[in-house]
Amino acid sequence: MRTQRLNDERGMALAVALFALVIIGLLVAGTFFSGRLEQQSGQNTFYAGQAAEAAEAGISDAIGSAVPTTLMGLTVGAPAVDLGTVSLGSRVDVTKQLSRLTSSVFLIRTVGSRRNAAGTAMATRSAGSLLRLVTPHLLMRGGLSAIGDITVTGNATVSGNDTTPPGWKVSPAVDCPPEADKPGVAYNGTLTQTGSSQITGNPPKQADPTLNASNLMGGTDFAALKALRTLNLTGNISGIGAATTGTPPVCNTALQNNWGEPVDRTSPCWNYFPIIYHYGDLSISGSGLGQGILLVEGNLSVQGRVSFFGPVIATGAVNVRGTGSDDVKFYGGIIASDVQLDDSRLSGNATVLYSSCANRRALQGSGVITRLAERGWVQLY
Amino acid sequence: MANRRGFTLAEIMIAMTLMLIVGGAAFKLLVTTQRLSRSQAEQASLQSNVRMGSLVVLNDLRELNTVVGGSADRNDILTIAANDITYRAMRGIGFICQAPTATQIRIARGSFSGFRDPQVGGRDSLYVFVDGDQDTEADDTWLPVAITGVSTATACPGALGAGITLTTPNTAGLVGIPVGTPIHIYEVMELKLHVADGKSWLGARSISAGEAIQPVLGPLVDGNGFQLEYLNAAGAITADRTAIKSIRITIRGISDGAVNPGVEGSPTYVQDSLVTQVALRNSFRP
Repeated sequence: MRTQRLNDERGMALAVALFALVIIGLLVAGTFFSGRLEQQSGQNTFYAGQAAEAAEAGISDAIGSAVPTTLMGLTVGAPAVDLGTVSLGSRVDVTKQLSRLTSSVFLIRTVGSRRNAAGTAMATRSAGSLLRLVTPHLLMRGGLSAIGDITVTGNATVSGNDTTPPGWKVSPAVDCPPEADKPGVAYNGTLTQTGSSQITGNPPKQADPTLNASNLMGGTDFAALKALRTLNLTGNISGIGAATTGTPPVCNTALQNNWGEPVDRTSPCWNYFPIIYHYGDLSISGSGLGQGILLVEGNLSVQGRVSFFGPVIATGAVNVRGTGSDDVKFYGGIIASDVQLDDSRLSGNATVLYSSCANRRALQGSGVITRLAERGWVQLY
Repeated sequence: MANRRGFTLAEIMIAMTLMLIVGGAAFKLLVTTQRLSRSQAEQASLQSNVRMGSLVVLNDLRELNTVVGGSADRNDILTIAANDITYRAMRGIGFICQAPTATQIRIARGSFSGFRDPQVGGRDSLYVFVDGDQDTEADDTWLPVAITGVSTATACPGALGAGITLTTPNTAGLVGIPVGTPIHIYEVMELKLHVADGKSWLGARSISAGEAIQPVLGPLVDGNGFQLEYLNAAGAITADRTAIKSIRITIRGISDGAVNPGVEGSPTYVQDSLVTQVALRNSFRP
C-alpha cells in the first residue's frame, strides 16, 4: 500500500516549537550573560584588591629594607630612584620608587599589579608613604669630654683635630666635609698627663667648669639616645666583627658582637650602624672593628686590639688600655658624663681621635626610618 | 476529494489534549525561565550595588588620620553616628615646587596625584607639612590652610614644568616652608543613610562645598542599610572619634522591585549584605 504524502496539510506546531525554543534560548543566554558579567565583575574586584594589597606590601617592604645612609645619599628634588620589582607570587608583583622631597622627608611610591598568564596587567593600584629619617642628635665637644678628672698616661694619644679615618679617603672617598678642630680634652675636673702621651687639638686642653650633664652632649641627653638603641648587649664582649648570613649574604644584625664594618665597603655590614646599649659596667676585650654609637650606662673598660668608629658615651668612668702591641682606637670621640662619673683614664697604645666624619656617618646611619607620624600614608592615582 | 479523509472527533480530542499538555509545559518552562532570569539579574544588580558601596566607603575612609586625644586639626573624623559620618576626605597630594609666600603655594603639576584637581568655593582646603627640628619627629605638624584661588596657568621654576598655584589667606606659617614639602588637599564630606522617594540610599555630600545630600547608591534596607561601627586599638567599639583605629562597614542592599525567587513562591523583595572592615592607614600609632 502506498503512503500518501500530505502535501496540502497545514500546521504550526513546528513554528510554535521553534519560536518557543528561540525565546527560551534568549532567556537562557541572557541569564548566562548576566552571570558571566557578574563573575567578571567579581573577578575584577578581586584582582583590584590583590593589586592594592601588593602596593601596600611594597611600602612595608621598602621601609623595612631602606638603609639610612642610602636615603641620605639621595639628592633633594632629583628623580625617583627605582627600587626594583618584587614578585609576590600568583602573578602579583609590586614596583617601588623612592625620592627625596626635602632634606628630611622622603616619598615611597609603589604600584601593585595583578597580571594574567601572558604578563598583561589586569589591575594596578598605587599607594605611597611619606617617610622621615629620625637621627640621633649629638654634639661632641672634642676628642674626650668628661665631667671629672682625666688621666692620660703611657703612649696614649688624644686629639681634637678633625680626623678622617684611614681608608675613607681612598677613591671613591667617603663624603667627609671638613669641620673645625675641637679641643683634645674638655673637662671640669683635673687633668693628669704622664709618660709619652700626647694631647692635641684646638686647644689641646680645655678646662671648662661649666660642663655638666645637661650641656655635655649639646642639648640631648643619655636617655634620649638610649631610647633609640637598636642593639642591647646582655654581657661583656670578647671580640667584635661584621658577620653575614644567608645567600646572597646580608648583614647579620642579630649577633651581639656584630657592630658593623667600618673599613670594607663591599661588606653587607658597611651601612650597619647599631646604637649599642649596655646597662651596667661593660668590658670589651679581644680584637675587631665596629661602628655606630656605643652607650654604656655604667663604667666602660676596653682593652685589646679594638677599633670603634663613632661616638662613645658612658655615664660612668671610661678605662681604655692598649697593652703591648695591641692598639685601641676610637674615631669619633668619647664622652663620659653623669654626676656619678669617676674618672677617665687612657694608657698604653690607646688612641682617641675626634672625627666629625665618623660621627656624622654613625649618627646618620643609626637613624630610624619611619613613616610620618601623621598623614604619612597616601592614596596615589 | 473522494480520497481525502477527515479526522474523527476522537482524533481531534486526543490531538487537542496533547497540544494542551505540551503547550502548557512549554509555557510553564518559559515563565519559569523568565522568572529565574529576572531574579538572577536582580540578584546580580543587588550584589554589585552592595559590593560597590563597600568599595566606595572603604576607599574614602581608609586615609583618615586620628590621634588619640589629639586636637581638631589632627583628627579627620568630625562626627560619628551609627549610619552617618562626617570627615575630611583626602583628595590629592602634591609637592611644593617654589618657595611659598604667606598667601601663595605652588605645586608641580607633574607631582600632583589626586582624585581631581584642587577646587575653590570653599570645597577644598589643604594641609602643609611643617618639619620643625629635622632630627626629630616630635614637633612635626600639618598646618591647615584654606584655598581661596586655584590657577593652573602657571609654571614652576627650572625644569619642574607646569604648576598649580593655590592662593591662600595670609598665613605667616607658610613662609620658610622648603621646596619639596608635601601638601594634602581635602574636603569635608558626609556619608549617611539617606531616604528619598520612599526608599533608603547611601547618600553623600560635600559639606565644605555646601552641597545637599544626594543618593549615590542603592536602594538599601530601611533603617540599617548603611551601618558603621567604630573600633579602637583593642578592637572594641568606641564613641571617642579620636580613638578610632578601624571602621566596620555594613551595607545591606534590597532589590529595586519584588521578584519571584523561582518556580514556586510569590514575588518578594530580596536582600543581600556585605560587611567590610577598614583599618585607618594614618592611625597606626597608639
